[in-house]
Amino acid sequence: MSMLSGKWWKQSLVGSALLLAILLAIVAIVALAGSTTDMRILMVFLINVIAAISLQTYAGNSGNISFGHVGFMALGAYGSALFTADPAIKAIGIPDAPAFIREAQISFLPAMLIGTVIAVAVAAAIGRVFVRLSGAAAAVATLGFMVIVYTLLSNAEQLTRGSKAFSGIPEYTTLGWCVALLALTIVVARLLRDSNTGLGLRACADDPIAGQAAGVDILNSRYVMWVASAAGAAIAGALYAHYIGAILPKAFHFELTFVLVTMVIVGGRSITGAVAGAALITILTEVLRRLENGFSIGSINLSEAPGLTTAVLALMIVATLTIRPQGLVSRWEIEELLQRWQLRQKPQASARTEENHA
Amino acid sequence: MKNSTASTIKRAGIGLAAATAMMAWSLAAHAEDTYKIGWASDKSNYLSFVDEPLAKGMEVAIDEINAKGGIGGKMKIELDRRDMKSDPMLGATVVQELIAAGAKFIVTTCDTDVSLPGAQMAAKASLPVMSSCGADAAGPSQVPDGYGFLNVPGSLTQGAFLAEYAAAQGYKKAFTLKSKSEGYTHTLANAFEERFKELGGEIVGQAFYTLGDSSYRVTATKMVDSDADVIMSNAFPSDSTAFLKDMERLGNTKPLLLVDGNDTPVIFDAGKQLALSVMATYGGDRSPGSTFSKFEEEYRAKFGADPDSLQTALGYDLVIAVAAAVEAAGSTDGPAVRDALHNLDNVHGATGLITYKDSPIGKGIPKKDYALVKFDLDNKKFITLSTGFPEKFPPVK
Repeated sequence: MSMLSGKWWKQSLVGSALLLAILLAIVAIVALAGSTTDMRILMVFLINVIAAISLQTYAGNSGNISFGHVGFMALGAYGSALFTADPAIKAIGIPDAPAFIREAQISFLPAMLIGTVIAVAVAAAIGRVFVRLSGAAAAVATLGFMVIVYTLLSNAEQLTRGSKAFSGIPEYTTLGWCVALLALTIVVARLLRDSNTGLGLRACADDPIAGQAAGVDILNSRYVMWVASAAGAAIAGALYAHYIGAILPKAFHFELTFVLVTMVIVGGRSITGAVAGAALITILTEVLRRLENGFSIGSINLSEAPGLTTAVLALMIVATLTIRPQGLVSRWEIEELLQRWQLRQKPQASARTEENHA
Repeated sequence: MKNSTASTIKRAGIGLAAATAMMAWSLAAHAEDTYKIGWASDKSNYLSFVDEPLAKGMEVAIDEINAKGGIGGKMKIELDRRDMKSDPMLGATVVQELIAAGAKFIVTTCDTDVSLPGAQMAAKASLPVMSSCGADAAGPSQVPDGYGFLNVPGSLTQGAFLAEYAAAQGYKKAFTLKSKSEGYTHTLANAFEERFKELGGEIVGQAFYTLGDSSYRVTATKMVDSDADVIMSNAFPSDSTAFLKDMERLGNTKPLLLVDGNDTPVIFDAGKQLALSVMATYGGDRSPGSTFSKFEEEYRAKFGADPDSLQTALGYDLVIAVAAAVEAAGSTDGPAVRDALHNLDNVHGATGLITYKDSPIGKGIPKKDYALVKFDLDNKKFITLSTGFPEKFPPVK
């Protein structure tokens, strides 16, 4: 009995469980054997995975890359931070903010929901315009959105301290919160992807005319994914803010966009691809970061190589788009990859059996 | 055979234990006679242009101290500098790595806002932390338990210092250029405006730019056509050089006030408008025999070239202040060094006397005299006009 048979949502849940099991194994290994720095890298990785999956929910299904999701992360981060930060610090940092924000100090979950609702409201308001765009126009428009959010946050001094750091944010982000919200993100992203909406949208991404002729409402489907992905990005932003303890608009700008987009492009078009891309880029970044301090290979001695990480990541994007444009795992999800692997093993096993009989 | 194998394993075990013990003893001895300064610095992003010269200045001070046997003649200083790429999240991770690597004092990059997560992490580990040249006076107050320090007096005092100079020159109307891209590029101009108005002046215009802008023609036209009798610019190179060139193209004749970010030989690329300009900076006494000139000599001896900017001297000052605090504390413990640094009084740095004790600006912010300099375009030198500190400045926000 294949694991892919039965209702589509069962397949989504099986795939989500497999993906989560692998991630939990990584978490367990680092928690048991890693240093405090390794744990910190793990936490940042988990937050980035949530952000990458959210981006993939839109980009992977619609076929349109978005450079704007970091803007939703920023809205989630500031939305949550403003309502949880210490009122005494807010009285000094943002004395002119409205009293309901300045005096508020609510717990993590409702604050995160506020941040998410803000991002969803913005996504819903602008989404109808964005989902009409495709290709380069969509990419440039989303980049514009990211810059608009950055500019607004940098200028809203009464609310955000402008370009200065907004501090006093309680450090609520724990490993438990990260794992729980990651599980939720994976399940929701898989359900959306495997639903009729997701399936239809991916069909339209491959062939819009055929998809629409088959009855797919391409604009509404994109809109659903756009809004859902904004919610996921906002959750990642809230986790980021409550992990780092101090945020500033510059943290949600080109650098983070570059990292997330690289994860998604290198990984592939599936949710599994987003996770694989995030894992690969995190490992690569950490290795390269250490090499930047100097290394020697044979007779080549490099005392320092600042900027090596960014250069290699940029090369990876170019190499992926040139050599394997579909990304590491292409459009396949983990359970499909396993099934393909099983199918490849069967003929080999049959061949071996026949050889033995002969 | 069996006994022989057991004996070999036993001997190997004893050897291994002895080697481990020797290594541990050696590491402990090394840790005892060295004081590690860990620096979460920018080597590859937009703040590297200031952190690189700062690093060279720090190396000069470390060599000077270590040549005398180290802090108090017995404890050598070691600098562990790692790239945080001006990323606040990575900055905190790098600070954690530095703490794990045995750093006793943490230095962060030249931006108090980007530095803040890392600074808060250092404070959690009870280690004093100083921004290499970040100028936001609100920075130290956001780091818990008094562990946060600045290496410069901050943007508020510099803005007020320039305003007091402008008022003393009889200027009544000012036009300011600032950017909201950075705290430094607008809080300093805001402080100038606030103090200038307090002294009876009027701000007749404000222009905003974005870091990296290459054309200032519109802004320059507005400024030239305005009835301002002085222009205050919060920009630093390459923005300031582009701005000054556009002012020259439009035939500006109004005097200009520039900030310390321009204290680099690069500013001489700006051309003739420098003849109309005055700049606030540090290290007013650069005469032969001064600590500044001695620093410059040491720098030339080490690197074979003139210091490439004022940041080199600020890097030197940072190490001198830290070493003085450790010596005064008589201990390398974080809380003891923090308290000693707060009580540091009149320590000779390259840019003048450094005082953290009873700082009028705020806890953890040094009081240093500013210098007003004009530009010798022919010899590409700064000429000090006066030194001082503002009588009054806006409160820390």
